[in-house]
Amino acid sequence: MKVVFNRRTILYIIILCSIAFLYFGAKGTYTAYESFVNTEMSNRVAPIHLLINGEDLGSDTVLDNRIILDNITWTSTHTRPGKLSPGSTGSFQFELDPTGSEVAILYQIQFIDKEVDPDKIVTFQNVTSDRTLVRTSIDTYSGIITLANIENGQKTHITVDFIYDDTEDIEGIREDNQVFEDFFEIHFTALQYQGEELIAYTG
Amino acid sequence: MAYARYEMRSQLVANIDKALYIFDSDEIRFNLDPDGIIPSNDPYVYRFSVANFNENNVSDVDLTYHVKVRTTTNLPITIQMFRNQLPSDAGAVNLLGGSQDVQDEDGAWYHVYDINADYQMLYTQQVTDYYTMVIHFPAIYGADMTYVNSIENIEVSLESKQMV
Repeated sequence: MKVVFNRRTILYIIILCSIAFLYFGAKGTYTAYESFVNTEMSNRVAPIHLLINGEDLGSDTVLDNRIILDNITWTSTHTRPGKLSPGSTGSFQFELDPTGSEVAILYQIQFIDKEVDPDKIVTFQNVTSDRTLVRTSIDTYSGIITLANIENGQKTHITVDFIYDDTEDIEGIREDNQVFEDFFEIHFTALQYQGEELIAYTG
Repeated sequence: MAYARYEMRSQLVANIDKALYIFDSDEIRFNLDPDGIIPSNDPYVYRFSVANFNENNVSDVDLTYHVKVRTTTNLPITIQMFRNQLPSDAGAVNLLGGSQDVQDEDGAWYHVYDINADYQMLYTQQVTDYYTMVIHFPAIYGADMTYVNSIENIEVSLESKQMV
């Protein structure tokens, strides 16, 4: 039997073939695109990471989001070592370790002492660092940890000197029922650095 | 346009022990009234002590203290004070020399006996100082009706301060 294709039949065949080609071709293109999208989604997010005296600032294990400084050195006289009495001076240091961070860090440290809040016991005298630290407001110091600092494994050390001011008579205590916040508070904030300029506080 | 960014916060606090200031003695104040003291050749003896510790704690600071006695001038008494000695001890030293007469803002007169010494108590040791105060009100005044209704107020003040 001789099969005869008329023009209309040929046209239908061409259309069907075109549809089939477009369908399978498009499906192949979509698969490739999906694969591309998946590759993008699997890229790591650059983490921010900072340890203060070995405590992970971003960890949930930091109790009450509070880091306790217990490395105070004292220069008291006539006082049992390790105890704070009027006239005592002391200092403590804390270390900022950005190892593992893949973003630069801007940190701000707010110091709340007796000068800021008269109910506090301790007055800060000096705040110093082995890296650039700028006093950016009456009670806040700021610094930047650059990517270069992080890549070179450089840590930042901040030293704080303080005094229990004895210029006025102070009632002695017969039992120690002070809580941490009675002495001073330091509020530490670490931010992803976005190029801000640190402007020195001029009073 | 503001972009979101990483932020972490924490509070830094210090583990500080505040030194205890223990000076265990209250001001001593009492009245000598006709029911409590009569002229006698036997002295009246009062004892008290001061310490740098109590039942729970020892002072964490070195301290000094100073003793002062103030009396009204109503009775012709004389006072002696001994520290860590009994009046009968050989070589016992009376800490009170002469008194100074002072007038307060209300016009009342007082004898003030000031022991010219500051005594130390160091945190390294538990110290108790024992004081004996001897009041003489000689019997010869028994015949004098002037003092029958008089009351004498005695005040021993102990002022302490942290050594610096």
